Amino acid sequence: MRRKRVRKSITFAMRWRAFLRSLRETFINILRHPFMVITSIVTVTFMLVLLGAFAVFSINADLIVRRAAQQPPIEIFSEPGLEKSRAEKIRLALEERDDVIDLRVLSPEENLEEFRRGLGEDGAKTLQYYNARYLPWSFIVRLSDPDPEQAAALAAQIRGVPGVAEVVYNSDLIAGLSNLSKTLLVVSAVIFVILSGVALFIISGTVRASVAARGEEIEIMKYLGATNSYIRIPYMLEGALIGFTGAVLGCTILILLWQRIYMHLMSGTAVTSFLALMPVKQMAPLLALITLPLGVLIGSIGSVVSMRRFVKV
Amino acid sequence: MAFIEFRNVYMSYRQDLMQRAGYGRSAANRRRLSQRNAVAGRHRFRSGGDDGYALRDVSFGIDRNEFVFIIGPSGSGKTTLAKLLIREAYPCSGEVIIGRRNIHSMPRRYIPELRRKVGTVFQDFRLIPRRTVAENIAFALEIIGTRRSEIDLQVQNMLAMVGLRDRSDAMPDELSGGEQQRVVIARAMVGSPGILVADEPTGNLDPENALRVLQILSRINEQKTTVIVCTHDDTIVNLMQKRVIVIRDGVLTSDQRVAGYDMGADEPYSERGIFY
Ligand SMILES: Nc1ncnc2c1ncn2[C@@H]1O[C@H](COP(=O)(O)OP(=O)(O)O)[C@@H](O)[C@H]1O
Ligand SMILES: [Mg+2]
Repeated sequence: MRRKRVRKSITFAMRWRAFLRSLRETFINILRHPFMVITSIVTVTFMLVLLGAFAVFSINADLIVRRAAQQPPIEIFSEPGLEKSRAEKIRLALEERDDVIDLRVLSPEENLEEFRRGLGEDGAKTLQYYNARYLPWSFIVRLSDPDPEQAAALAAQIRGVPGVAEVVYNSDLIAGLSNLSKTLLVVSAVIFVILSGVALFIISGTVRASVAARGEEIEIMKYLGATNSYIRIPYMLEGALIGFTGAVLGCTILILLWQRIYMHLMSGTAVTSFLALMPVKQMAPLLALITLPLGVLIGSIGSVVSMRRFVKV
Repeated sequence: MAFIEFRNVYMSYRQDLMQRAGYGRSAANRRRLSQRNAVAGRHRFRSGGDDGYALRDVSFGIDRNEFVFIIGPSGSGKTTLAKLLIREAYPCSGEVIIGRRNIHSMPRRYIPELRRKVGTVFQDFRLIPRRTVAENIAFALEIIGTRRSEIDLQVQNMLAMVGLRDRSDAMPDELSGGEQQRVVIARAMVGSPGILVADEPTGNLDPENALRVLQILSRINEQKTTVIVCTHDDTIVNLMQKRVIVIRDGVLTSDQRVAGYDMGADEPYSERGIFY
């Protein structure tokens, strides 16, 4: 029996084997109190479904807000019959702004044409002798952000440009939708914090029970020279696994629910409509991206919380 | 410098408890600690001698591969000494040095390494009830990540060494006291620590079993392991003809490197008849 130096004998392979052994411990732990584990999983599932429902709501609201904000573009009308060179100055002023993502310029002639088309055949006849000279230039602008303040700033600037007669934009609609979107975000954040707290509490309780059930064994492990991380890993994994399982269940439920709701709500609406909701194919990966990491994170934090106090060398 | 050294070690369970609870680490905590001491300290955490110390100014050194008995009556501080060696207890002043390293001032992350280097056998055995003998011994290697085949080999070696090959599948509660004691020794030695500390290894054993355990310990010592045996049983001490350190009421009263311990030499000790 030759004495070996301990420091040299702690190799990576040993750490790896120790890790695999603690993985097995994780499953043994879970099988020891299945009822508590199931309760925790159900809690996480419930919490993530609730949270996910808000996320779905927010995502769709945001989608519509963005579309709506671009739907009524800002329209700028010049004085009737403005010369081309002066109209050009208005165009330049608009093009200088970074937040203008789309600019369409209609000459008085084009406006007249559009006008005629809008009136149909009979109306077009009455406009036969109407001269483009009495019509304004018009500039149709889309902004990068559905931000009412930005729209107001643009309006103020352009009104000052000589030759501009009127700036038309639907500020109330933009502001309303934008506010709704912000409110939803705040409500989601509050709900998120509360539900995370509840899930954290439940998971940490379960892990604590796990630790307590093996208190004596943990003491012996410490006494025999197990590292803190070796002792902790099974409990960390238990929490993370509970969180992950809950998240998978929650995510599945959310996707199935959204499939039904989408089918129901969209039955009379075109996919291209500005009220169109996000299709399941796009929603599913988004939901997975929200719920899965969140579940694992909450599970792991839950076990860290309950272990910090109990497992110390 | 000796392999293992105690330098002016004082130890008080009251202060140890406080320290573990986080007292005394910051100025505010120290204030709280002194207030607690004033209000309830002595009363609540009373231990050891009159001044609350389980060990007082203990200094000695042990060389590599030495076999040492630490003897003294019950309550004299032997177990405390063993706990200090694996940092299960902290001195309130003085140093415990193993291999040139002050084990109580080194970072916490070295504690596992220390405990793998110092095998211990305590009176409460600390066996896992729901594991067999072989599994209990293997446990010490499992938790440090030894390869399975290596574990099996080492466990068989240890079972052979303590003479428990045929009991490897028994549960701890099916074993006699002597057998349990040997399992614990096997578990302490399975990781090949350089040091073995046995606290009352013959505590509840009949002479025959006690002798057997002593033979095992001395064989371990012959295979290049420093062995420290704490005991209140002077008969086994006389049997072995090894160095003897005597400790009484937390104070080291004699350290005889001469072979053979004569009870008469420590007069007040035998007079009070504290050995039982
Ligand atoms: N956990 C503890 N808390 C408080 N006091 C203790 C504790 N363990 C031991 N003591 C006290 O410390 C002194 C030394 O005890 P111990 O080291 O166990 O003696 P021995 O092992 O020689 O019988 C005794 O007075 C005992 O009462
Ligand atoms: Mg004792």
